[in-house]
Amino acid sequence: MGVMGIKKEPMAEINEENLLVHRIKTLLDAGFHGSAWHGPSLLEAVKNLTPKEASFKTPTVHTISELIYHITSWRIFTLKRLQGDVQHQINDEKKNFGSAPKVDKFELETLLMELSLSHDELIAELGKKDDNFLSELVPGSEYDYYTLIHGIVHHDIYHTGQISILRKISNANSEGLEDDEISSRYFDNGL
Amino acid sequence: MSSELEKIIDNLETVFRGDAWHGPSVLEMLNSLPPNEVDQKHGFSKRTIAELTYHMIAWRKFIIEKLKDNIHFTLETDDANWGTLETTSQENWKGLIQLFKDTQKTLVDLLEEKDDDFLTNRVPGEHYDYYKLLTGLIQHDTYHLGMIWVLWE
Repeated sequence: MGVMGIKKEPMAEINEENLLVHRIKTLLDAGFHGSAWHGPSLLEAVKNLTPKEASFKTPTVHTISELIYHITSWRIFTLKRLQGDVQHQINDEKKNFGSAPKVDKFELETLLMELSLSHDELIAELGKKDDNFLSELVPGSEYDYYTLIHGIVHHDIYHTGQISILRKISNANSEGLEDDEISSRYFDNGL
Repeated sequence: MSSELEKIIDNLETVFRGDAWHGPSVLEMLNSLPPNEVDQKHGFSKRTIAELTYHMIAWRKFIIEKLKDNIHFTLETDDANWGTLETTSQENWKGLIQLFKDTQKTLVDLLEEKDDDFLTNRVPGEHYDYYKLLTGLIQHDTYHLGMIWVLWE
């Protein structure tokens, strides 16, 4: 590790007050990074994802890039609520799924980076909580934080299942097409 | 406040029946599917919708066997994991949904006899505990539901 090494947070001690939060964090991390019981994690499902796969459109399902945006949106929603922001809403299609169904290499990298950042922030925020907050109602909603965060875990994995099949359809449909059909508008400018 | 196990059972039931936070539940999706879609083979996917459905049932059976201390039970064969041609045919679709409902009920009934201490018990013959297995099963449901949604295209 070089000079710009990762800043390590002190490990939160697990005790009777935060055991359930610790368990949820473990599930959230496993579904995101790996070692989940059910199978592939979200990051495993998007490993080596190409812009072409991420932009592939079927008639009734969002593209993978829209799904990544959508997963990030709900992480940010959860994070905002945890930080006491009760105003933030996901109340239209653009806030929910973004406005870039098709992406180039640069846009895809940005989407994946934002996804990982939102995950790390959410995990860090959860690390500050103890179990009591899990039964608090989420402001503006009819459910508690326990339901919301388990919901996020299920939501991630639901869309992970979609992403894995979308990649397969995309690859079955793209045989014979040029690889650089969707090229980077940014890198083409000689930058 | 309800116990952790009660909450897990509640999650297991909402993901199965409806009002789940993440989106469509198992029964909402399966009941909406046109039966002629369920045994369609797709070139890009190894499994049909009915096979994925059977697979969700199979893992419930796995847990039921483990709850009976059946240490050696595994889903070894393809048939045990993904069902036979007959059970996953469109003719048997209603029967398969009924089997799913029955298996869910058996599982929930068995879990309701347990308390929170049970969650940290090791699953017989496995290296993980019941907390990981039960939360994993719910996640496994949503993972395959996501697949089914796209296969329905």
